Amino acid sequence: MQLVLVDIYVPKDTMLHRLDPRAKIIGALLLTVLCFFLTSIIFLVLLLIFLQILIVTTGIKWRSYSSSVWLVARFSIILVLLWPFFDKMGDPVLLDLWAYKVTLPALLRSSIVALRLFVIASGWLILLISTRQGNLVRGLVKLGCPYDFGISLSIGLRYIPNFIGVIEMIKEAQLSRGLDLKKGGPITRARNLIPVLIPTFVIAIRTIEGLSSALVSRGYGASAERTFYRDIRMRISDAVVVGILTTVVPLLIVLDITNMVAI
Amino acid sequence: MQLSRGLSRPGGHRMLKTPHVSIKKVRFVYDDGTEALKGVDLEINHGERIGLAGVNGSGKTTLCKQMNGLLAPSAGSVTVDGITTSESDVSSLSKRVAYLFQNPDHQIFCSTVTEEISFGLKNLGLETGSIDRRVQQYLGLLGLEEYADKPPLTLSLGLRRLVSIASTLAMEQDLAILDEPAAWLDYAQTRKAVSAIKQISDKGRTVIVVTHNMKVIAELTDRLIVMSEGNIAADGPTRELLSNPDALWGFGLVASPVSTLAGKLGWNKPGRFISTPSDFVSAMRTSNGGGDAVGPR
Amino acid sequence: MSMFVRQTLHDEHPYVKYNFYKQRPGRIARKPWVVSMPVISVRDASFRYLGQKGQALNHLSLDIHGGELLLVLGGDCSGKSTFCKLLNGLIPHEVKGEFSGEVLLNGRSTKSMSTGEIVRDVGLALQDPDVQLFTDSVEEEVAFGPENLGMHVDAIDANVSRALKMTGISALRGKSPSALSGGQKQRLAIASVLSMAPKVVVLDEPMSMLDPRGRVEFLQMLGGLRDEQGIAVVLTSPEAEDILPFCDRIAVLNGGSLVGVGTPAEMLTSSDGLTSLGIEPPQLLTLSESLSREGLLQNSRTFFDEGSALAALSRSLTARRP
Repeated sequence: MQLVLVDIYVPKDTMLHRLDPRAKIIGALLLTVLCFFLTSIIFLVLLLIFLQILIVTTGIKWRSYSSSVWLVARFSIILVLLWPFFDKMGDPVLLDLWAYKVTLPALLRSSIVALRLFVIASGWLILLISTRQGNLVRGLVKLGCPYDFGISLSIGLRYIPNFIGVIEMIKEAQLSRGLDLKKGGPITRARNLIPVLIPTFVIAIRTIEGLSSALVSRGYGASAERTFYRDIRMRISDAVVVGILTTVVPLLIVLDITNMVAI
Repeated sequence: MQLSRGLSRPGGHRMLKTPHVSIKKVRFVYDDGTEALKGVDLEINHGERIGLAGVNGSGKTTLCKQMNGLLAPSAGSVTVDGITTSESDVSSLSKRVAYLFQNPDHQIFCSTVTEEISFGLKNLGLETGSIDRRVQQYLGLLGLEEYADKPPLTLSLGLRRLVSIASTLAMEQDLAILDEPAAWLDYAQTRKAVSAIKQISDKGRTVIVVTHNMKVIAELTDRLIVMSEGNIAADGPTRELLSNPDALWGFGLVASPVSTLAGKLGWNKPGRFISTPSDFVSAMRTSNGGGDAVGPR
Repeated sequence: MSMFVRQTLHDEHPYVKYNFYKQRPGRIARKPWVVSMPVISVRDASFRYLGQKGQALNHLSLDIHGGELLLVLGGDCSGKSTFCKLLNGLIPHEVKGEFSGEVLLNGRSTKSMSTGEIVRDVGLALQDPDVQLFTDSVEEEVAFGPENLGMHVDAIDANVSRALKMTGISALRGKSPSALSGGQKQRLAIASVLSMAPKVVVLDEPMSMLDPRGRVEFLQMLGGLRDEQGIAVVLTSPEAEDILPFCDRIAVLNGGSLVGVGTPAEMLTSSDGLTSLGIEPPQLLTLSESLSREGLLQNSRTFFDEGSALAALSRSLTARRP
């Protein structure tokens, strides 16, 4: 029996789920590109809120959502905290510790980067939450990606929850032998992770070896022309969404570059 | 099936009057809503040799994980040696409860087999002299002497399993829960594992063997508990249950061929249990095979 | 549709049944190797994994015939899994090591074929189901193989449904493979191979995680596969007991060498012999030997299956009645 699964994909049937994967892929890509041009914090925050609303419509459970958000949040916080080591320009200076200097403009710059991260992550998260792995691969292939890339990506995604499960099982097995992960200072705790890390590594390698044999055994590459059992079809509503995305986003970028709109 | 309380084995002893493990009205619901245990009541006394069988998904593993603290009941209580498991943690309970997992690769990480077996012993806080003695003892018990200095990760699957069995048994806790001890082992290796388990239970340790291999159950257990859909469906003396092929099939289990044969000859009766070849031979010796039946039914 | 379909994208007519064995009236004869050419012929095969000292396979020669269920019996490190990889071309094409000898598939050497060609005819399910999952739904998983082979969508549809039904997991069609139990994953791995409609199905310890009843149902399914469709089934296992009623021949491996091959009656004659090879003797065999030793068995012939046991015992019991 399986215990808790951390699957990125949420098996529901919402508006976003029904949207063609190609639309979602294009959306995430365009969003990523757009973010490099966005400098207005207000706009970024609004965009972020809009994306979170979209995420909520997918019906994702709070626990999965908060763990994804927390992952990105930790990264962003570290980014903002380390930023003053490298960017010390501008006035007014808020904190001066010789090597570590926090200035207001620099703080704003780091916040913008952090927000961009969040926005980009949200875009890709929407894609992964609402798209089945199989459809994701078909979408990528239809957009021109080689099938090899698509299948590598989907197998990778497929094994993430698997591996989290395996690490849990390894932890259980080692705890039952008396391993104590809670006691001791940081060095002891780090050392106590070895009994968990090594089996994970070993199982990872064995899985990779097994996977490559299994792929061959299942005929991967046997036929030059590969069939797709369940195919995706672009509906009019999907085409409309793609149309909107491919006109609005480049427009925003152009307007931004030409300084007609300050975003 | 009657709930048997505290079978005392010939040569065994009942250590204490209080049960070793006490499971009261335990319910367990997984995060995704599946109810794995639906109100289980069970008492296990010191020194008992228990078999826990049932199809996949019947709740055997879930029940076992309650006993060493890996899972805490959603309702009801589980006490081991008087300690409520939900109030303790796995590492501390590991001093009293041994748990053998099915996949040896989830445990093996050391550079030699000796180190691997010493790992649990170090966690118990034993001193080096005792650790060395125990390691030698258990290497011998499982026939692993020639691999003592080899890296366990380079050994074959069967040998890796023997190493994990040695590591688990060496900790010599009072309660040993063994999940499919014969899995991944070939015949010779299974014999070693089974004899090792027999030896530790002869020393008075309470042993719970979780498996659907009826031959292993026949050799290692006196009391068989069968689970089905989150409840205990049967609980009684092993020999009695094993001699009832129809009941076993109903639980998704298969009786041993000797048992089934005896059944077809009409030799399995209350008071007369034939589950191993030696039982059969003794039955055959008494001229008409134990009772009134002569020839096949 | 009762047969697995092998039609590919380039075939014109849908539902073309690929009859590579002449349809025999009634049940396919139990000893087809007498009349037909072997599907796979392993000739003097030796293999040593890269970096390992011992030989995994040692001058092994064995024929596999269509329509037979062959049990490959052996203990730990006997070479069973390596043998399986030999049959579907993983050795010598994918697995690194030293290979000598030859494997002929339908008369052609596997060395001269690509793995793509070989796996159309030989399907392999590895021992560990967790390393054979590529998709996020059971249905897609079973369709993965046929998709790779370029089968027609209708053929895939038929084969997927059939494979799911045969392995008893039709109800799990839409589920994610991660959510399945070990036994269900094993069935899934096998269904994924069956849907490719191979001529030979090679299964490496396919029942290790099934419960006893599941094993019986599984073996009945394999027997049906052999009987109805003339597919050769090669099955490895460390123990023979429950497989005996279903298999046509047993090949015993020890240390990479083929110790012997023959019908169960020919191979299972002595429990000491089997034990020395790391194989558990069938319980009834041990019983018959103990009874013979005590002089309780009429004509001292050993048995290992229930039918012969009942016959022998009733004779002995009647003979002892005053």
